[in-house]
Amino acid sequence: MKLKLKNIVIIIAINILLVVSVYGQSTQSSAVNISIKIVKNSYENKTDQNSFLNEVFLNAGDFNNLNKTPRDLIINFSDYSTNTVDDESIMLEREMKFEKIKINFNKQICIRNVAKNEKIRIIPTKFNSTLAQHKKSTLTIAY
Amino acid sequence: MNIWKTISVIIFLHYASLPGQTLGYQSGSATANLLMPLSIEAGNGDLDFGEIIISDSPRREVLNPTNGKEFIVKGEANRSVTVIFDNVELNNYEWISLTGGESGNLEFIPDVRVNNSQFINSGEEVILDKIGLIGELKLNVGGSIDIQSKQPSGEYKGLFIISVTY
Repeated sequence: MKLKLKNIVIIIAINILLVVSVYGQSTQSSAVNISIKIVKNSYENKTDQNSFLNEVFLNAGDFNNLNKTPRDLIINFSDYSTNTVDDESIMLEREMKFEKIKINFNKQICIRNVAKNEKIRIIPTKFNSTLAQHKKSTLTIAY
Repeated sequence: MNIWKTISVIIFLHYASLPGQTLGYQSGSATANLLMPLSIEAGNGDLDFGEIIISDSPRREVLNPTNGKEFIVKGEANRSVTVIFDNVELNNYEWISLTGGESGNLEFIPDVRVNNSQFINSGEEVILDKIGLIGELKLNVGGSIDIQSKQPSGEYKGLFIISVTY
């Protein structure tokens, strides 16, 4: 009788092990957050053919009612014609601080934490003959 | 009954009863492979698409797997594993709960590569490369998101889950 009981215990144990090893085979998972922030245009200036982008004055305070999140400005300087221009530069005058940022066409930059009522002046620079012949471009500023 | 005979019978019956198997032409012994535990852990990178300006026309934002998120799978060398993942719906619900505005959804379509190279679909099997005593491979995840011209603004979030199984 003792032997039979022992057999039963062993049989049950083997069954459990087999079930675990066959059906409970390892499935492992990992995860990562996905994020993307969509912002709307607040300003757009398109040049006409054979013209330059003029300097642009912004008053960040003008956008205060449009966004409750900390202020970011995104400046997108893009070429929407079929012409390609390698790169140009723009000068940002931010109150007393000057920042010179090189920006490529079809790229965007983000100026973080622009203070309320801070004035930002965006001055296209390095406009050369290449750009003079450039057909069309777009300066987009988003918040 | 001899205990070992009993064990043999039980093992045989167990394997013979597995789904999809035909019962009983072989009277041979049962075998079991001891596999290294399978694991997947997050490596470098992220799936942050950054800040996107809405334009007048729909656009597709693409994150190359090379610049996306890396996952490292470890297990038995030369063993195949099945990789499973799904598209992910993103929403801006959390953002609009703080700022107000219109709710919206976006769909993330994953682009999963093995070792930054081979494209795989969900459900495909890949082989763990033998590296030292273990099997290992890297899964690089990028993907794309289609954005409509009138897409509601805000920060969209979602969770991408990837699973591997022997």
